[in-house]
Amino acid sequence: MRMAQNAKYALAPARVENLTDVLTRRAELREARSFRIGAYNVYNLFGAAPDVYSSQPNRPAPEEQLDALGKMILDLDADAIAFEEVQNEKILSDLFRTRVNPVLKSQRERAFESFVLVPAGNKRGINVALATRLAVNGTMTFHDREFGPESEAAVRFSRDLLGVELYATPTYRFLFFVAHLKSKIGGAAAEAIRGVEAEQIRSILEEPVFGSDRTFITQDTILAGDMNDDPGTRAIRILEGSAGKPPLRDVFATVEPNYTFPTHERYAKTRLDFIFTSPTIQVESPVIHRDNPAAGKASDHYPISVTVTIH
Amino acid sequence: MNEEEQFGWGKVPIENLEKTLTRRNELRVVPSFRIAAFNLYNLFGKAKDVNSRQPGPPVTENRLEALGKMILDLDADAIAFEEVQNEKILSELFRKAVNAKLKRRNQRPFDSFVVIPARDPRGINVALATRLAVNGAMTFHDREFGPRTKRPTRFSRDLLGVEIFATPTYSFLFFVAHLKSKLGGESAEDKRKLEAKEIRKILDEPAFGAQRTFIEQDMILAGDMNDEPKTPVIKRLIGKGRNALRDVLATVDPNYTFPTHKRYPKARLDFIFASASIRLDSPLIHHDDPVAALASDHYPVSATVAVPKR
Repeated sequence: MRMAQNAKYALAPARVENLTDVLTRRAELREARSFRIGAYNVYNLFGAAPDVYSSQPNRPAPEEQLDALGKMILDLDADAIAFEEVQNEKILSDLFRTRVNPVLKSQRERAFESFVLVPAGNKRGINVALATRLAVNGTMTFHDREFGPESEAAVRFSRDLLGVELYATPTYRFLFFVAHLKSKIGGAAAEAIRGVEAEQIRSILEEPVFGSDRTFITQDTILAGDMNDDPGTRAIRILEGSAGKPPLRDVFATVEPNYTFPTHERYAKTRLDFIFTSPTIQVESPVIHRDNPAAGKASDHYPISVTVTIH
Repeated sequence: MNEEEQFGWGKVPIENLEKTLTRRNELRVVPSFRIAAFNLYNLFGKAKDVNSRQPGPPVTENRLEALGKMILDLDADAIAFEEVQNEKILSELFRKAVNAKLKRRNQRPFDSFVVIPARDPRGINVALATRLAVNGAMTFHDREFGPRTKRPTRFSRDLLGVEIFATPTYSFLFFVAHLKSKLGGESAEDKRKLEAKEIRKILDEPAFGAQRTFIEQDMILAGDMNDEPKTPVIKRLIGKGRNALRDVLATVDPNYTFPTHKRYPKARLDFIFASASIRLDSPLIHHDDPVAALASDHYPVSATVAVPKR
C-alpha cells in the first residue's frame, strides 16, 4: 500500500515496456519438431538513456550498427538468442522493436516479446541477456555468488551466468545458459580468471542448486556465449568437462572455416563463441553466420546458431 | 575493436560494499540466525534509472537514517525488502546507515544486494540484502500466466527467490513477494489471487528440471502480500495439507504491520511464511521503535531460523 504521492513526482511509467500485448503462456505455444537458437556478441550495445547500473560506459550504438544488428538477428531465424555485451533491457528491446519485430510481423511470423537481462555490476557496463519468442518459465542468476581459491580474495562472475528455463512447445522444456567469460585482454591474470569462471560454471552445472535433486547437466541444457578463449585452451577444456564427468559438446567443433571473431582484418581469426550441449539435448545444423555483408557493421563477432530437435 | 577515447569506460555506480565477499566455506557454524521482511515505502534514489524514471521524490537523509535504525534493530542476517527502486539506493542505505554501525560493533556488514528490475509501473521492486552467502537467485518476472480466457499477465513485482547458505552446510530458499496493491478494488484483488495462485504453482511444481519442489525444502516466503490474514489471497498462499505454509506471525499480538500512521485502520499486510521443514521461532513485529513512522508506512517483521543439527 502507498501513501499519497507528492504531486511534483507523478508516477512515471517504467521505461522498459513489453513489446507486444500478446505474451506467451506455455500452453499457447505451437507444437513443433524443432526450433533454432542463436548466440551473438553484439559489441557494446549501449543506449542513450541514463542507467543507474552503468553510467554511459561508451557511446550509444549508432543507427548504422543497430540497422546491421537487426539484419544479422533476422538472418539467424532463431527463437531464442543469447546475447553478450548488452547494456540494459531497454536498448535490447528497442533494437527488436525497431529493427526485428516489424519485419517478423510483416512476414506474419511471431515477434520477440521476452527480454531477460539481469544487471550484474560489470565494470564495462556490459551484461549477458536472452531474447526469445518462446515461453520463459523462470530465470536463474549467479552474479552474487562468490567463489575462487580460498587462498585468494573471493571473486564473482565478470558478467554473470544467466540461466533461463524455456518452454519451446507446451511440453518440451530446456535450460539455456548464457556466459561471457573474462576478456582476453589482461594476459595471464585474465586467463586465470577465465579458468576460475569456467570451473564455477561446471560446478553450477554439475552440483544441484536451489535444493534440486537433479543437476542441470543431466537435463536438456545449452550453454552459449563468448568464452573469450579458443577451442582446446584450458578454459574451454574445463567447460567441456574432465574424464568421468558428463561432457558438454562443442557443437561448432567441426564447422569449417572455424572462426567467429573478428569481423574485421585487424586481428587473427579465431573462435571465441560457443554453443555447448549436454548429453541429452539433440542439435544439428550449426551455422556461423559470416555471409551477411552487414556483419562488420553490426559487431566484431559473427553470430552462431543451431537447430534443436524436440524428442 | 578499439574503444573510443572520448567515451572511455565509465565507472559503474554500483560497487560491492565490501572487498571481503562471503564464500560459503567462510561462514561461521551457528545454531540459528535471524531473517526479516520490510516494506521500505518508495525507496527511490536520485540517480537516473533506465528501468524507472524518477517515480517519486528521492528518499531524504532523515528517512535514510530512520530506515537504517529500523534495519539495525532487526538484527537480521537476511532481509526481504519491498518498494526498492534499484540496487544503488539499497546499497547506499546500507553503506550510509547500517554497515558503518555494524562495523563499529565488530559485526559483519551486509555485502550482497539482490535486486532484479521487474518493470513495475510504479518503479518499485522486491529485493534481498544479506550478510550470508548467496548461492544463486531466481526471478519469475518474465513468466506469463492467468486464465486462458483472458490476456496473460505477469507478476506486478516479481517473485524473487534466493538460495542462501547460512553456514558452510546449511542452505535455505528465501522468496520475496509484493502482491498487487489493495488500491484498485475488485480487479486488484483478482490480480492478487492470480499472483497467489502462481506463487503456489512455482512452489508446488518442480522448476528448472528438478524432481523436488521448493515447498518440500527449507524455504521462506516473505513480503507485503497486500491482504490480511484469512482472506482468500492469503488462504491460497497458505495452501492445504502437508505442504501448507505456516504463517509465522499469526500469533503475534498486537497483530498489525500497517500503517505506522493513524490515517487508515490497522491491518497486517506483511507475512513470513515457512515451509513444513524449516524451523522458525521468536516472531516479532517491530512496533516499538519511535522512528518507525518516519521510516515507512509498514512495520518490519522478523523471526529466528534454527539451523538443523546434522
